[in-house]
Amino acid sequence: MVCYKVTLFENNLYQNKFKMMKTIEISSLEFQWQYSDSWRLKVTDFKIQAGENVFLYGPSGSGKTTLLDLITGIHTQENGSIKILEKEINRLSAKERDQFRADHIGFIFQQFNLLPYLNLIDNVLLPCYFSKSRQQKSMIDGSLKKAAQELLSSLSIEESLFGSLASQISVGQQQRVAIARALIGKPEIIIADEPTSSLDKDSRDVFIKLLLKQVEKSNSTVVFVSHDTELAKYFDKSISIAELQ
Amino acid sequence: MFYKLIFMSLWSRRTSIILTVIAISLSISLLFGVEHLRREAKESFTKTISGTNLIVGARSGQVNLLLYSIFHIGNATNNISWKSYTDIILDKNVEWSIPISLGDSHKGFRVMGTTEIYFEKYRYGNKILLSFKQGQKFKNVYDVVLGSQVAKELKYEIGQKIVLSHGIGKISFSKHDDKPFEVVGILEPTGTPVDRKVHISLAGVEAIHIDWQHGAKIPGLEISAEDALKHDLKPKVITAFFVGLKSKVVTFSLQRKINTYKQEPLVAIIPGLALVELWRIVAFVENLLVVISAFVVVTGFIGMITTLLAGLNERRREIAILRSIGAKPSYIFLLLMVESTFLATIGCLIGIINVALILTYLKPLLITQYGLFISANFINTYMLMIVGVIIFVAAILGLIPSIVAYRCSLKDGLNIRA
Ligand SMILES: Nc1ncnc2c1ncn2[C@@H]1O[C@H](COP(=O)(O)OP(=O)(O)O)[C@@H](O)[C@H]1O
Ligand SMILES: [Mg+2]
Repeated sequence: MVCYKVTLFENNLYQNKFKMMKTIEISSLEFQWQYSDSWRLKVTDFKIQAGENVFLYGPSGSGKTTLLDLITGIHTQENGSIKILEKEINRLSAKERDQFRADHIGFIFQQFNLLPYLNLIDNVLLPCYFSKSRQQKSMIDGSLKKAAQELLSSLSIEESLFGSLASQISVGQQQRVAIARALIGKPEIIIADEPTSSLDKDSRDVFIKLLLKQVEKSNSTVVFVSHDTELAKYFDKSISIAELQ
Repeated sequence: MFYKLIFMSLWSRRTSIILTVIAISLSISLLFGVEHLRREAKESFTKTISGTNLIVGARSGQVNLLLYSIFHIGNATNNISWKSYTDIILDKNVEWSIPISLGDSHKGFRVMGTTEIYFEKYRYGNKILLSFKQGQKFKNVYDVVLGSQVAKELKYEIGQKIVLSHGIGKISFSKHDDKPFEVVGILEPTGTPVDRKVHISLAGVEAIHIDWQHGAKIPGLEISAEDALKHDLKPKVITAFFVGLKSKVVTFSLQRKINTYKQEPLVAIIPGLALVELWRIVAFVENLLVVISAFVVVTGFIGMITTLLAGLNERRREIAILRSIGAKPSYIFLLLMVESTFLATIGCLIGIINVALILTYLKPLLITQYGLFISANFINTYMLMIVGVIIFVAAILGLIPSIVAYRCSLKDGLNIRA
C-alpha cells in the first residue's frame, strides 16, 4: 500500500515536469495606480515556462517595474489573474505574499542592490534569513558561509573582497554580488530589473553571461527587464511590454 | 540578523548618530540635574532644623531671618538686646531657648556664639541631636567647637589654636589675633550648615569684642586675653534665638506676643512656615528651570527624529532591498522603531551617567560654596519613572520615521531610487 502511494506521487511529479510547469501565467490583467487615471497597465496573456529565459523590454515609464511589482506580489491588482508557480498570488495574504517572495524569487536591481554596511558574505546570505527553505537548500556541508563563498567565487569575485563592505567595491562587482544574492538557495524565479543600466558595455556582457550560466546551474527561470533591446540576443525569448496588451 | 542590521546600519551612520545621542544625553542630564538639585536643595533646607518651634530675631522679613539664623546666608539687620531675650524666655510655655550671636568668621567659616544648651537642644533632620566625634562642649571662654567640615577642610585637631576674624569675608584684615581660641570639640557630620560652623560661647564673643566698638578696634585700648576674663563677659546683645515650647499648641499665641513686643521690634517665625514662604519665592525660578529643561529634552528628541528622517531617503533603497528579499512591511517598521528606541535609551543612560559624574564632582563644591548638602545618589523610583516616560515618548516619536518608511516601502515597491 505504502509503496504504491509513493509511486503514484512520484508519477504525478514526473508528469507535471513533463507537461512543462508554467512558472508565470498572467491573464487579462489590468492595473492602475491609485489617484492616477491617465496611466494603466494591461496584460492580456503572458506565460513563461519553467527554465525559460525571458527578455522583457519597453521604453522607460512603460510599466515594466510595475509589472514586476505585481508578479512578485509587492502590489496587487483588482482585475485579472497572476499565477506564479501555479499559485494565484493575489489570493495570498500580504504576509503569505512576502513569504512566497522570500522563498521563490531572487531580485537584481539596476543599482544599490546591496546593504552598504554589510560585508559581501552577509549581503549574499540575507535572503536565507528571511526564508527557511532557501537556507536549507543553500547549505554546503552544513555551512551557509561556504555556500556564499562558492557562489561569489563562481561569479569571479576575489576572495580577498569577501569580508569588505559592499560600499567599498565597484559597481560592476556589486552587480555580480547581487547575482549571488539572488541565486542563493536556488529560487525558482530570478527577476532582474535593468541590472545592466549602470554598467559599461564590457562588464554588461560579462554580467549577462555569468548570470545566465548561474541561472542554468540552479534551474531557475529569469525575467530580465531592460529598455536596451540590444541585449535580446542572449535570451531564449524576448517580448515587448507593448505586445502584452 | 535583525539586531545585526540595526547595529551595522547605525554604525555606518555613526557620526550623525553619535551627535544625536550626545544631544539627547545632554538634554537628559540637564533635566535630571535640575530636577535632582531642586529636590535635594529643598530636602537639605528642610532637614536643617527640627524641633525648634520659633526663631526670634530683630524685625525683618521672615525668610531673611530664617536664612541668616539657620543657613548663614545674608546678615541680620539688627540685634536683640539681652534684656529682651531674658524677658521673653520667662514665658511659662518656653521649655528651652538657644541664643545665638553671629558676625565673626574663621577662614570663611562663620562663627556662631551660643550657649551649651545648643548642644543639648538643637535638633536637625529627623529630630536628631548633635553629637561629638571628638572632645566635648566648650567650657572656657576661649574654647571652640568645630563643625565636621570645618575640621576636615582645615585639617584641625583637638588642641589646635585658632584666630577668629571680625566680619564674615573670606579674607579679613581685622583679626582677633590677640585672643586665640583652642579647639575642644569636633562635631559629627550632620549634612546641614552646622558642619560649616565654628561654635564659641557667648562669653567668647563678648571677650573678643571687648576692645572693639562699631566694628573697629578702639585705638589705644588693648585688653589682653587674660585681662578680658576679668571683665564682665555677660552678653549685651545677641543676633537671634531659637525657642522650644512645652506644647506646640501655644506656638501661635507666643509668636503673636513676640511680634507685638513693646520694648523692641522683634519678629518670631515658625521654621516650617518660613520655609514654605521661601519655596513660594523660589517656585517661579524653579518651575522655569524645569520647563526649560523639559523643552531642551523635547529639542533633543526632535533632533533625533530629524536625523532619522533625513537619513530615511537614503534608507529607502535599503528598505526596497529588504522588501525584495521578503521582509514584511512590519519588519521594516519594527527595524526603525527599535532603532529610535535604542537611541533614546542609550541617550538616557549616558545622560544619567553624566548626572552621576557631575554630581560627584559638584557635591564638594556645593557644600563648600553654598552649604548645600546634595546626595550624589539621584536614582529613585520617581527618576526611573521619568526615564520610562521619556523612552516611551521616544518610541512614540520614533513612530514618525517608522511610519514614513513603512508607507514608502508600500508605495515604492521595488523601485529603487537613485
Ligand atoms: N508608486 C507609484 N505610484 C503611482 N504611480 C507610479 C508609481 N510607480 C510608478 N508609477 C507610474 O507608473 C508608470 C510606470 O512606471 P514604471 O513601472 O516604473 O515604468 P518602467 O519601469 O517601465 O520605467 C509611470 O507613469 C510611473 O510614473
Ligand atoms: Mg523601471
